[in-house]
Formats: sequence, structure tokens, C-alpha cells
Amino acid sequence: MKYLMANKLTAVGAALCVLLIAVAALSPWIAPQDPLEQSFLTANQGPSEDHWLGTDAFGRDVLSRVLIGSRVSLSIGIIAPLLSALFGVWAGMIAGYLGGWTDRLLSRFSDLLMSFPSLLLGVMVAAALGPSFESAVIAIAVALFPRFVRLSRSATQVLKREPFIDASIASGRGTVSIMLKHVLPNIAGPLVVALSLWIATAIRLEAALSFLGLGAQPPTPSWGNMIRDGMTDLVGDPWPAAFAGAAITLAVLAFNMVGDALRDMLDPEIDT
Amino acid sequence: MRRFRSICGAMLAMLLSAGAADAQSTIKVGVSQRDLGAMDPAFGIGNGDEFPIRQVFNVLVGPKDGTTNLKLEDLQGELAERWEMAPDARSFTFHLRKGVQWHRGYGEVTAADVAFTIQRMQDPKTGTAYGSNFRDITAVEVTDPYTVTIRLATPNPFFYAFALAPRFGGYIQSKKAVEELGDKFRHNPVGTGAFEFVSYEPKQKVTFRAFDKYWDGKPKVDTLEVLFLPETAARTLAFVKGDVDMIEGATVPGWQASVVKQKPDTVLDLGRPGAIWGFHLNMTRKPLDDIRVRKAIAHAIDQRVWTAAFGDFVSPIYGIAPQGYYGAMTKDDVPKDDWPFVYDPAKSKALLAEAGFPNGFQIELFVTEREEYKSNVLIIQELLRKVGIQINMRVVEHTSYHNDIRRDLNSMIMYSSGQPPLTQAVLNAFYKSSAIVGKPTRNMNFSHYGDIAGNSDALMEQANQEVDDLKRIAMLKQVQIEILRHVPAIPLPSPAGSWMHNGKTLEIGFPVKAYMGTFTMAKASRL
Repeated sequence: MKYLMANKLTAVGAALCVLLIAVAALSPWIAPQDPLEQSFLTANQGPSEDHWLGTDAFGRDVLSRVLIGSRVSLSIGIIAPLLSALFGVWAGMIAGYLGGWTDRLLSRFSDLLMSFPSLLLGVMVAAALGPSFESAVIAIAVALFPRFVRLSRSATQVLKREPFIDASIASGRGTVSIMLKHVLPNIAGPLVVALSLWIATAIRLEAALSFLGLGAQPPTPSWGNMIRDGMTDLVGDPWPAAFAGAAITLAVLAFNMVGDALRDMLDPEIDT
Repeated sequence: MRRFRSICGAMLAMLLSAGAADAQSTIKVGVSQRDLGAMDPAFGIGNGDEFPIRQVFNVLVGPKDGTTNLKLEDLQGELAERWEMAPDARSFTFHLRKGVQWHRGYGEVTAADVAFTIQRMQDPKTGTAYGSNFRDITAVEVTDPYTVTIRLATPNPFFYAFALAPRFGGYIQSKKAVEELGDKFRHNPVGTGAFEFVSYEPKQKVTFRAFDKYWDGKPKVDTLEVLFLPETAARTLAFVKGDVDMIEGATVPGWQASVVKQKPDTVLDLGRPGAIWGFHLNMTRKPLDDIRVRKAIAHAIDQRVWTAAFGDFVSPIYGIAPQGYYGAMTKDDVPKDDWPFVYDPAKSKALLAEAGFPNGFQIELFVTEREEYKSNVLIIQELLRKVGIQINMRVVEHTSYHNDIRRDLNSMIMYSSGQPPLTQAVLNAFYKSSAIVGKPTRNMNFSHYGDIAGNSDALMEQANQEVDDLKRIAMLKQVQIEILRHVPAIPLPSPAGSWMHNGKTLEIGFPVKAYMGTFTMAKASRL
């Protein structure tokens, strides 16, 4: 904690993350207008007193849409990596701890998934499931799954050679119990680092899926679909796409800053 | 000194004009289609096919340049010099222009080509989507190389508008070329039009050159390029930067005004009568089977929102067919008593409560990603939200949308289409019982009207065959009122054909008011 605070950048990053999450949680109450309310008389306008970030082609308030949109973007960005970790870490620990054909099977499976770029994998899964919030979560979780498997598997393999694991086995502890009591706590460090970095990745993936029309469905705003809709008249009314893009940049930056700082703190071998 | 200057000036002017005369003049047109479907008139679908087809082919008799006006007295001969309809409206005789040449040396156009075209369009083996337009023909008689008579099973004074007008497969095709080229004819057409086909680069462009033996005089420009620019942003940018001279518009609220603001020389080419936008209610689905719910939906729709969103691009609709269609209802034809298509949200809520939905209801639907569909559904979604009806929308890919709505999988169906500008055509396509989706004879009857709520087949058929003009128009209006009282669909304001060109570089030669890309560049020049 001391390290975290000593680094100004980290403090800024952490503060931004907290702020973003707070905004997302409180957005229905702090959004100045109904993000779905259309008003064609004031459509395609730049920032003004009434609409701080302007309006889109349907005359909807961009500020309100960016605020409400953060709910979709951040919730998918956080839920998907957690879901992925839940399955991926277990699969990785089992593979690393048991070894043998279990390891080969799980590793080859994650290699197979790894061979697709994560965006492509996400697009395939989301397209197969049909576009929706839930399928975006699943798609991103699947895309990140092999990364968690690899990370936890290799950390487990290293740990398995430690004498205290042998001691536990000798004392008659069960496999599951060893994994929970000894393996998981010891590999948690790198996993937390990875998780925070992959939240940033997940936010980017969600934006890309929404941009391709595979994320949250209209009229629900998300940062990705705001960019997509804003593309049509990018020259005439760049505001919706620009501000949604800025929001994505901010969120990705914030989570990356925190992730980097956690890595520096938990992984002393990496010299920065 | 003054003299020297004037000589220099004259020489400069000569040089410049000589340079201009030497330069190859090219017109570039950007369409919204992703790629060419076909330039064979039997298979062309959508503006991106129709525009090139219109440049390459001719019809026998068509509407005046730049219009879609199919009134008998306003037609202009293309391949036919003159023509006659029998008083009983059961046969049409065309007298062909002599000496009209096919492109690339395929010889002169004769009555045999006309007979061949009709047989080809009628033949189920050809597999054209326009076959039904030619179903009524019982015989095609070639009297001499320049005279052909078409006979019909039933009287149909609008046969020419259904079958022989530009866009609905009515272009005359060369017997020799179709037989020689076979499948290649799709992307290598031979016609009689002002421009002949040169090359096709998939997903990029189609190139044409002026046909020097064109029957109406060689065009003033040398080359015409049709570019496929599906992304609205890219197409708009290409136009604003001056890379293309003309583009097909986009159906996004406020888009046109935005382009004109960026490029003040823009000339809007709004084609009318417009296309048909309809929001069809699948009456086999709950709760849309309840007339009160359908009426509630109709009362929640405020047409003025479309005018606010799209401006001049849309015009209000009073019946089923858009204004300007033959037999369309006008403002004065709208019944005064209990008409469902009057914006009245309070009444809408009352009707919902009566139907057992005091707090509204939720309904799932899917819609294609295409702008003209999605924009409309977004507006409807918001209007219905105001009365408590929540539409949960799923955006899907365009081709699968069209497949799935024809398999009767959707609950509420947004549909945008072009039809011959006749009320009969709209009724046949959307409200005849034989057109119901799921049936072998299906067309675009997504509401199941005819099997459910009511049936107007007999009245439609009667109107089709009525020879007296005034009686026919009265009957067509009567059918529309009868159908709409059951609210099988919400007719939406009609969009104009949306094109725009650069007023500084391109002169088309006539005002473009034709819809769906059915105007030629035969008289166009570069400025």
C-alpha cells in the first residue's frame, strides 16, 4: 500500500478507476438527461450549455449516453475477466499440478484458443451466440480464458517443486485442499496483476465488439456502439464518437496504470 | 502592349480549351451497395444494380427522363417509337425504332429480341425475381421485325407499368448476346443504352464507356464509373472531398443537411414518388393478435417525428401507398371516424389498459443493421416506450434478416422497398393472402392479413381489372381503408430516392426526380 501511494501515477490511476466505477454505479442518478430521449430539433449539435458534450443524430444527449454507457462498458470489462479467471485459473492449476495427460489435454485446448487473436475469438463466440450483453461477457471471457490457464499453469508448475507442497502431500492433504490452501494463495500475485491488466483489455474488446454490433443492443448506449453510430456522420457531427472514444481511452489508461503498478509491487524481479 | 496581352490571352484560352477537349471526361458515381449483384436485368436488385443496368439497357416505353411518372400520356418512347393499347386493355402493340444497335456489334434490335426477353422473363428456369410481372401474358406475336403485340389473359391497363417499366425487369435483352454469353451475361451485359460495359472489379467499381452508336446520340462524357462505397462515412467523405461527382444518400437523421453544410454546391436529387417504409405487425403473435393492441401501437406513432428527423427527404403518408402512387390516398381521403393512424398517446394507453396491459408490455424483435431499417425502428422504439411498450431489439446482418422475416420468424417487421408506383402493386406485395410469408406463393405479407383479421383479395382483384379510371381509383382507396382499419401494419412516411451530385462538376441534363437510381447519364456533362 505504501508503494502504491508513493507512486503518483499509480495514485492517479487508482483514483480514476474508483471514479469510473462510482460514475458507472451512480450514472442513472447523475446523468443530466434521459439517454434515450430523442429530439430531432436539437440533433447533431456540438457542446452547448444544454448539452455539455453535444447531441447525436437522434438528438440524444451525448453526456448522458457516455455516463450510462460506462455501465455496459465497465461491467462487461470487469465481469468478463473475473468469469474467465474463475474457470481459467482452476484449469491452469489442475493442469500444472496434475501434469500428465490432463495437462496435455488442457494445454493443447488453451493453445488452440490462443492461436486465434482474442478479438477474432470474441467475434466468433459473440456471433455464434447472437448479439447481446450476456454473449459479449461470454465472448470476452472465452477470449481471455487461455491466458489465465497459461499463467496459472506455469506458476503452479514452479510451485509444485517446493518442499512444502511435498510436505503437505506427505501429511495426507487432499489435492483440492492443497490447491486451495497452498497453490492459489501463492500464485495470486501474478494473477491479480494479470487480472487488472486484462480488465483494460476486456474494455477494449467490449468496445470493439459493440463497434461491430455484437455487444449491447440499441437503444442501450455503450461506448463502442456510440462510436459505431457516430461513424456515419463523423465529419459533420464528430462529438458522440469523439467523447465515447475519449472515455474508452481514459478507462483503459486507468486500469493499465493500476495493473503496471501492481506488477511492480508484487513482482520484484522485474526492474522498472 | 494591349494587343500583345490580348493575343496572349487568346492563345492561353485556345490552349486551355484544347486541353479540355483532349482530356477524357469521366463521371464517378458512388453507390451504397457492397458489391455488384448482377447487371442482367433479370437479376438486378437494389439501387447499386439498377443504376448500372439503367445505363446499359433500354425499355420499350418509359417515363420521361429523370421521372418515375408512368401516366400513359406522359410516357416517352425508348426502343419503341409508338405504341397502342387495345380498348379492352388486353393487348398492347409496340412499333420499334429502326436501326437501334446492340453494343459490341450484336446487330440491330428487332421484335424477336422483345419476344425473347418476355419468354426469358416468364420462364421459371430463368429464375428471375420479376417473373410474376409477366405471368399474365398469354402470347407475344411478332408481326414483322419492327412490330410486336403482347396479349394478356385478363384486362390490365397497367400491364406496362408492372412489366415493362425501368427497374422491374422490363429492360429489353439481346437474344444473341444472352444465348452466347450464358451465365457471363450477369457481369458482362450487352444492351442498347447510352453506355456500354467495359470492366468490372469486384467490390471496387464498374466502368462504362460512351456508346457511339446510341440511338439518341452519343453521350457527352467518355467514361462512367460506378464505385461501391458501402460505408456511409467513406462515401460521404469521397463526395465532400470531390473524389466522386454523385453519391447515393444515406438514411440517417440529419445526414443530408450535414452534407449540404459541408459542401454548399451539393444538389439534392430527391426522387419521387418515394419508396415504401412499413412497420408490419405479425398478427399471429401475442399480443399483436389483439386489434386493441395494434390500434394502441398506431396511436402511439407520430408521423411528424419523421419530418423532424429527415426533413424534405420524407413525405407524409395517408394510406398504404405513398403519395404520388396511382390510387394513393390523400389527406382528404382519410376517414374522420375512429381512424387508428392519428397520434394520440392517451388513447393508446387507454387501449392498452383495455387489452389487459395497463403497464404496457415487452416484445422482442430483430432488425437488420441497414440504416434505413435501424433508424426507423429506433424512432418507433422510442415512441412506443412513451406509452409503455418496450421493444427489445436485436440487430442482425442484412441477408439473414431477409431470410428470417420470410420464414415468419419476426414479431414486428420493418420493411423498406421499392414497388412500381401503383397502389395495386403495393397491395399485391404486402396484403394479398397469397403473399403471406411461409406460403409457396409468398411475397411480403408479413402481417398475415388475408388469413387473419380480414381479407380483401376479391376487392383487390376487382380493382386490378376495372377499366374505368375513376372507378378504379375509388376502389383502390376503398381497399386501403378496409385493410388499414384492421391495422396489420403502420405505414410510415415515404422516403424519396436519395441521391446528390456536385453542382460544380456535374450537369445531369434534367432534374432527377426518378426513384431508385432509374435515371440515365445519357445527357450528362462535366462542368
